[in-house]
Amino acid sequence: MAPILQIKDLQIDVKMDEEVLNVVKNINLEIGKREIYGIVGESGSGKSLTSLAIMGLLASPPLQVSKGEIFFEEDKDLLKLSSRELRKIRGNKISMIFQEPMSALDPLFTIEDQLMESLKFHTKLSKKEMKRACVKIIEKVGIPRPEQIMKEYPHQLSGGMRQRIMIAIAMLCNPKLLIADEPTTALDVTIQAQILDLMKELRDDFETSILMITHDLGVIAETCQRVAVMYAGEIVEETDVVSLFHRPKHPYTKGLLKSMVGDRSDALYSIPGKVPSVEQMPKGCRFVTRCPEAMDICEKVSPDDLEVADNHRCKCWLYQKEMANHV
Amino acid sequence: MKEIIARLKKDKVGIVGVIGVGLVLVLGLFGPWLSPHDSTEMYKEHMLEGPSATYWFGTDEFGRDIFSRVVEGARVSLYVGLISVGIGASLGFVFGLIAGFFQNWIDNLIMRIMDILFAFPDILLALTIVAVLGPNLENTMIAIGIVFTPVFTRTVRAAVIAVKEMEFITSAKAIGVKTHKVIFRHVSPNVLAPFIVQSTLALSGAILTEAALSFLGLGIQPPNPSWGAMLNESRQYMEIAPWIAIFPALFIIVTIFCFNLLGDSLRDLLDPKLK
Amino acid sequence: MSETLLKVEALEKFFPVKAGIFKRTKGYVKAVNDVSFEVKAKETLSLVGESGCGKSTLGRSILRILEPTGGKVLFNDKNILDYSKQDLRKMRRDMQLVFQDPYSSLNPRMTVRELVSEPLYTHFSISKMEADQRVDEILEKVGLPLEHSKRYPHQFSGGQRQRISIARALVLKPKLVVADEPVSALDVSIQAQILKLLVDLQEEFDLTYLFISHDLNVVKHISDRVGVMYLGKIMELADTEALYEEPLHPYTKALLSAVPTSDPLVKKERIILKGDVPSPTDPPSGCPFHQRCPLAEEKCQNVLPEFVQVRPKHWVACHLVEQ
Repeated sequence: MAPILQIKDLQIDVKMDEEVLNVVKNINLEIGKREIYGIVGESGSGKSLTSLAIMGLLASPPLQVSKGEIFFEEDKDLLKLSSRELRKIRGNKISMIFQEPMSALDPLFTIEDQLMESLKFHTKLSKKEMKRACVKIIEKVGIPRPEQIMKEYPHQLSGGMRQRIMIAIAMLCNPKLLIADEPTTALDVTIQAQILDLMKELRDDFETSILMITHDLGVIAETCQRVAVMYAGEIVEETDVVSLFHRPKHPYTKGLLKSMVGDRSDALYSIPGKVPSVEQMPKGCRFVTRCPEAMDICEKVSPDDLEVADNHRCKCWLYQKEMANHV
Repeated sequence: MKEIIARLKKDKVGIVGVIGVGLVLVLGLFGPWLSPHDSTEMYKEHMLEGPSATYWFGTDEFGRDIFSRVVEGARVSLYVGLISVGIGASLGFVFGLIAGFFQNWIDNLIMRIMDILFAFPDILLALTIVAVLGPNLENTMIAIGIVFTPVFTRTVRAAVIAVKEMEFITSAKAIGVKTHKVIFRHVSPNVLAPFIVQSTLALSGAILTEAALSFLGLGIQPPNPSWGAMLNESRQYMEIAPWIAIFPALFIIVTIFCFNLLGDSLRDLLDPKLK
Repeated sequence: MSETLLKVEALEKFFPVKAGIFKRTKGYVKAVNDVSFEVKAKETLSLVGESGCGKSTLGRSILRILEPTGGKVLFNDKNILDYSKQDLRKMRRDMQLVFQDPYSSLNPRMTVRELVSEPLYTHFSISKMEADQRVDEILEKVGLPLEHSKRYPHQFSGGQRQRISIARALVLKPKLVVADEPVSALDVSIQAQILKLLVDLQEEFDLTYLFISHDLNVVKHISDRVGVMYLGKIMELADTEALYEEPLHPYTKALLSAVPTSDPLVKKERIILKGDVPSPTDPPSGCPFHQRCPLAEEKCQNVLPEFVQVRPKHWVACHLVEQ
């Protein structure tokens, strides 16, 4: 099946006073129709920047896409579209929800105003039809008494409700792709379970693909089919969710899984050290400073992104060497 | 300190501010030795002359050397500015700290008094105070200080309230730090940034207010010059001898500009986060 | 059985809700409502609950950073709510707080050494040399390089800042540490580092922890006992294993089932709760959980269930749990 979104060799740089530093590099991924695709990584891994690049919302300057292509629905390269064409796609065919539902809603407007705004821009419906669409979508995201909620202001709603409203706004124009940037991080576990459930339901009803960006492997395990693990601006491993959890290849993924303070292992494991800063990025593999299996070559040369098993890519010298030996 | 200087070197705008303020300070301090003529000496045969090699900025209607008067005026303007802002800032800092930290009836009392002071236009309030105390330089400074107190009180109080909500204040209390130490060690240093910026802005405001009071004849008394008083005297001769007005006005503008630049860069320098 | 270090009896913290020009009290937010429990010396008791359940308020009320409005807090058998301000200040040596947000809980204008030595100078009149020595000691213990002691907090990462906070709390060698969500603001791989540090330090200094968190996973590994809070009350309190393996209260069950799995192949039986936590200004009558409880009966709507011991060392507040 043709992918809905395809990112090829994306690179994002940040322009400081005189030097140009790399923040995101070599991003390759494909999101299929109706697929929930996860990007997991710690803060500073570049996962949010990647999603902003898709939306054309990078703060530029100082950030800039310096290389690569992002194909949407096979033929449209989002990076080559004019800002007008992009605006037509944004909020319509691709929409986004954020971590902080409070700051993403304008406190001065009612829920109805905020829903209508998007409809006015993207459709030519009459006011009555628009209102009907709004009520329908609010019901759809599981909010009782939609008419009453529409008259309220964001501060009158709880965190979970606000995130539902954000999802309602995002789903209003029946998008092909929904980008969810840490959608449940600010919510409590019982509310998180509600929202994740809702998102899976909407995926089935609307046939929307979802790009789920999170730091939480639990959220990934709950929702995603495919996963990319990002570290320091690069995808280090990419595969289906079962392989990732049961047959992880990259030392970083292994460490992340072990340090998931969950029901898996009983000892507390932690990856030593911290993510290198943009200024002090290692020359070779970016994980070398924290890797328990680092070799000499890792410090000098960056490993290639290789297919190490069926549909399983990994960027690590451990496997590159192995494969070289085979040949 | 070394660090601050090192960082200042990178801040070009800040350097302009520092140099400008430095020059004005030099003028103020060493004025009498720098000026070629006595600022009150009248050269009868040279009345209303334009700028020349002898009288660099020209002369006024009594034949006094404008350059010497501008230099002498710098001393007065700076003196008034520093002292009156000193009065206003100290009062405002103390009031603001108390009001913001305790937020009880004292806060209410202080802030209502400040509201009343705020309700008067600056000049009118200063005029009233000077009129009550009598027109001389000291009273002008007191008046300007009082006029600026409410602004400082409000700035400091707002900053204190914001800082008070920070968790490190709770942390200090949890450790058992005494209230007065919490105020001095934890609250005050963190309200300094807006306070200092406000001070430099007020400094230029004070120089302007002094100019306005002198312009109205209530600040410094003739024949002694201040920039404001000089502007006042220049009124009638504006058309035939514009230099009488231009030079003091120019100095007011440049000085205020430099103080504002200095204030902006000071705020950045004092923020440990921008190191 | 080891001795009881902290005993909380019927503790209450009500915040008045004021409205109108004259600021008349219109009602109360019952943030902590009739809470009782004990913490034994050298154990870790965790309190978990969702936002707004009153867990942080409870932690702060115990330390009297917020003044409780009722009840007792017995520390070493003395009710600290009766203490004068001076006595309280002295007592703070023994009870410390570690904060959630390592960004706002450290004064940005103080260096690490100043931050960590402040508690020492506050409580003892000691020389600079002595203080420096003790600061060096504790910095080493929490794993901060000594050469960083002249830096300011913003020059550190979140995990390192939390180490500074911990050093600041432990430099006085307290008996009880209330840790209020100490790892919630940190990245996953850093969380484990800090938890491990807390466990190691507990061993070394014989600390007693009251650990407050919203994250059931975090709590599981470090706690001896766990209490679950909802709307200002403790609903269930038991040994860690008993609580995770055999939860009795329907809320605990729902909370546990909502935790995401760490294995995509395991499909959990999920109890999805309806709606949100009710407002603590206007808590429901009867059992505070009855509106969202999948098993609620008529009795639950009207009668407040008592917090009783139903099994050895296992307390529950629910009508439906048989004694």
